[in-house]
Order: sequence, then structure tokens, then C-alpha cells
Amino acid sequence: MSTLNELRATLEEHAESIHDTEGVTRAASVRQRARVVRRRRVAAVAAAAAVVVVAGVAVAGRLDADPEPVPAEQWHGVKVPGEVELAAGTYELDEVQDVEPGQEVALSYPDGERLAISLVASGLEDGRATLLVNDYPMARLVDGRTLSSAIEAAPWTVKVRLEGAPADARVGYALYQGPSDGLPQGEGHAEPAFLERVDDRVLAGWASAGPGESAEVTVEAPLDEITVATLCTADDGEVVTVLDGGPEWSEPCNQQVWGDGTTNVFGGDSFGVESTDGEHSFTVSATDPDVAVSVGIYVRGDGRDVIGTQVAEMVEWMGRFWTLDEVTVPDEAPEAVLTKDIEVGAEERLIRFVSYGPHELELTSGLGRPCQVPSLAGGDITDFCSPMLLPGDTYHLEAGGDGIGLALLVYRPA
Amino acid sequence: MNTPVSATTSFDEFVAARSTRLLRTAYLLTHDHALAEDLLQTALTKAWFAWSRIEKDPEPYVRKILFNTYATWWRRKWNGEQAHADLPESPAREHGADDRHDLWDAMGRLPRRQRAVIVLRFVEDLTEAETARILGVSTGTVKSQTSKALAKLRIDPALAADDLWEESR
Repeated sequence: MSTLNELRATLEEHAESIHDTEGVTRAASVRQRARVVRRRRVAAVAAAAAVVVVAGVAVAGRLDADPEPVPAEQWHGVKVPGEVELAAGTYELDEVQDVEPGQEVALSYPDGERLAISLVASGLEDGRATLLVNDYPMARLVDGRTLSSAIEAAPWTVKVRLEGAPADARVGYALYQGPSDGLPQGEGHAEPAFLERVDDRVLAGWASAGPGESAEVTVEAPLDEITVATLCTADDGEVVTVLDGGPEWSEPCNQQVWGDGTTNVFGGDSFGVESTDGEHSFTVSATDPDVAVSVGIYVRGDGRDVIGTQVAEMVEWMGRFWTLDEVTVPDEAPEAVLTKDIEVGAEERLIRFVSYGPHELELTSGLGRPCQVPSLAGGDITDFCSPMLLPGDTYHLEAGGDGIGLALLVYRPA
Repeated sequence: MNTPVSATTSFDEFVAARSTRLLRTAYLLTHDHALAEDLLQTALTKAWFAWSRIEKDPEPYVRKILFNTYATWWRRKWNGEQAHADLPESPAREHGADDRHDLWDAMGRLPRRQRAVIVLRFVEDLTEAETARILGVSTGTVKSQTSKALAKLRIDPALAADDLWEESR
């Protein structure tokens, strides 16, 4: 078994096992989604126009009271803020939802919208509540805390686990609606849609062009530290990027930022471009003459040298910012195995590791099972952990392999 | 946007006729029925906005959006997909249903792009060039990703116990 024919047969068997229970109502559901998207696009355009008007008033010298704050919501005695700030901007409270411990809830929202989630709890006393995403811990409340820091969410299935809490403790989650990660359809690109910081990358420059035109950005940085993100006003055709007037590549036009700035197109095996220092230009255009494009160029943020690699002092993860707090290098590099216990206090920690050559970093406790943390150098890991360590747990980390250099980075919330 | 009645009719007809097949493709990508439905409806929503331009031959467009949306979803940092627990023991067994189950699980352990390449090449039966066009990558990348994916399946612990992939080596 397990020839290519068997692979085909297996996939087809699983595909055929799906019963299309939504088939009758799907078209109507899709049109309903389209109406929601259209309403939000209209709202986004109206909001942009309102900003222009407000700015004009400000120039005229009016310094009236601050804008009225978004009201908080009371939930079983817990004050849930009406808005939160994450990397993409301000997220406004959409709902606070009670859940029964263990109850699974699927988060769903229109594509192109950003969503954030925060765990809420009341009456925990000495117990603890954990927000699980597909059974993976992503937020926790301990020591009587009632509200976790919001993190960016995706189309997840979530549930909450309660441990050691009184029977009348209540748990739930707050959902926040963020700014769209696309642009209003048909609008020009007067404002950058690219985040200022993505992971350990900082936006070095961006440019936009109207339909049928090309946009160009020039940055000075080593090519292998540059990443590229593109954005189109429609999902039609492809966006072509030309490097230094020479090599070019294309990718599908997408109304959401494509590549999100973290994918180094030159580091993989796709284009085979040799990395060089100096100034580099990126020119983008759409193959569809009716589509406008934008390009954002990211470079690694300022940082410090760790075993010969420049490591960012500040990174973004799940929409939150984190600052480098501790660097651990094995005493007897290169062969030494790195081991470390991290007891997480009131605030989460984020871990990264740097390696030269094949290394694996495993969390062998604290999660109930071993899993691997991706290296900053990339690589394919399928059984991977979230690199966020949660309050109330002690994590044991072990790293080893056949590489020639290894370092563990621990970040704390900024 | 006011949509003519004829457009609504042709969209509904397309969804009725083709979306079950597309749902199954989405399921092969996501390995989750609910996510597959969400992925499909997201792709169809984008298609709805472009319907006047694509209604003569909408399926290639919808298929491309389906795969691109899948890639976009999973590009958003850590995606919350269930990390796999320790692999089960691989007891001696007869070839058949157990092996297919292991193969399906092993597919789920492939990185997203490799899973997409496998589905396009071996389920959709697309050429390397067609696969490259849909994923927006070079044919070289399709070749390398296919090769890596098959190599991973060959050495997957759930499958490696058997005498696997002999015909594909």
C-alpha cells in the first residue's frame, strides 16, 4: 500500500466521506456573507471620510474634549474594556460570551476582518481558567485575575478549561472586532495597509500604484533580511514583483496582505536569488489593468548580536509586542544540549531560539506532552508548540541537535 | 452593488452543481468539516463579488481563490491547529483501512503548502505548471514541495513501519 495510487485512493475516500449537509442553503449563506462584507466596506469608507473631516477641524485649532471612549461592558462583575490596542490598531468589543467549561465554540468572521479574543472569568478564587484553541493552551487566568490580555484570533475552535475553581465560577470570552486587513474595494491606497511591525520585522517602506501602474520601493538592507508583502484591490490576476530591475516573480493578487512580511522570498528555494547588501528596489504591478497594487518591504528590527545572528529586541506575536528579556547560550557550545526551566509568573513569556544547523527545541513539560518550537531560521516542524508560555506553569525546555550554535531567547510583554 | 437576477440564478446554479466537489477539496486541505465549509463559503463570497466577470467559467477562479484563501489563513502566524500528540504505536496489521487511516493522519502532519501541492497534483490531477499558477509559485517550487511532501510521507513514523512507497521511489 501507500504508493501514489494508494495516496490518491486515500484522499478520494476521505473526500467522498464528506456529506454535504449545507449544499441546499450554501448559496444563500454566501450572499448573506457578501452583504455583511459590503456593509463593512461601506462603513470603512465612511469612517475614512470622517477622519478627514475630524482632521480638518483639528487644524482649525479646536481642542475640545477627547473622543467619547468606547464603553466597557460589565460581565458578572468584571469590567471588560470596550476596546483594546493590538499591533493592527484598535479593536472594538463585539461581544462577551459565557461558555460552559469544555464547551467548544467555533469562531467565525468574514474573511479580511481581524478578530481578537480575551479570556474572562469571575469567581475563580484559587482556581485557574485556560483558553484552549484546538486543545492547545493560549491564554490563562490565575491568582484571581479576571481578564487576560487580548490576542489576535483566527477561525479557531475554542473552549475553556477550569481547574480548582468553585462550582459557581463563570468563564467566557470577549471578542473584539479589529480593523480590516484589506482595503475598501475601489479605494485608492492613500494609507498604508501594512503593519508597522510583523513578528521581528519592521516596515522599511511601502508604495502604492493605481490601476495599470507600477509601485516602487527602494530599501538598503541585505537581501536575505528583506521580506515582501503585497496587496491588491481585487483578487484578480497576479501581482508581479521585479527585484533590482532583473529577477521577477508573481503571486496571486489578494485583497488581504499577501505574505504578511514574514516570508523571506529569497531565503527559500523558490527564486534562487543570491543575497547581497546595499540598496535594492522592488517594483510591483498587477497583471489585471483594473487592479491597483501596494507593496510593503520589511527588514529585521534593531536588535543585538546573538551567536552571530542579529536578533530583534522587540517582536510582535499574536498582535502583542514583546521585548527581549533573557538570552541563554549553552556553556559548552557547539555540542552542548541546552536545558532550561522557566517558571512563568503573572505575565506570559514568549520564547524563540536561534540555531546554526539542525537543532530542535522541545518543550518537554508544562504542556502535558512534548512539542517543538520553530527556529528563527525556519524549517519544517509539524508537531509545533505555540511559543507563548502561560502563567502558572513551569516549562522544561530541551534543545539539541547536530548544529554548531544554539541560543534561547525569552521575551516578556512590552 | 445591485446584482441582476440572472447573475443570482447562475451563481446559485454553479453553487448547486459544483460546490460539493469544492467542499471535498476544501476538506482535503483543512481536514476539518466546519473549517472546510468556512473556507468554501469565503471563496464563494469573493467569487460573488467578481461574478459578472467570471460567470462564463467560474470554477478555475473559485478553485484558485479557495487555495489562496487557505494559504492566507495559515500564513497568519501560528494557526492554532491541533498539534499532534505522540504518534501511536505502529502494530503489525493487515494492509487496508488502517493504512489508509495512517496515510490520512500523515497527510495532516504535512506543512500547509505541501498539503496543497499534494491535493492539486494527485487529487485534482493538475500539472506542475497548473499547480504553480494556482499557488502563485514557480514550477521549481512545486517540484521541490512535491518531492519533500512525498519524502515526509515515506518517513512518517506511522507509515515507515510498513514496506511503503516502493512503487513511487
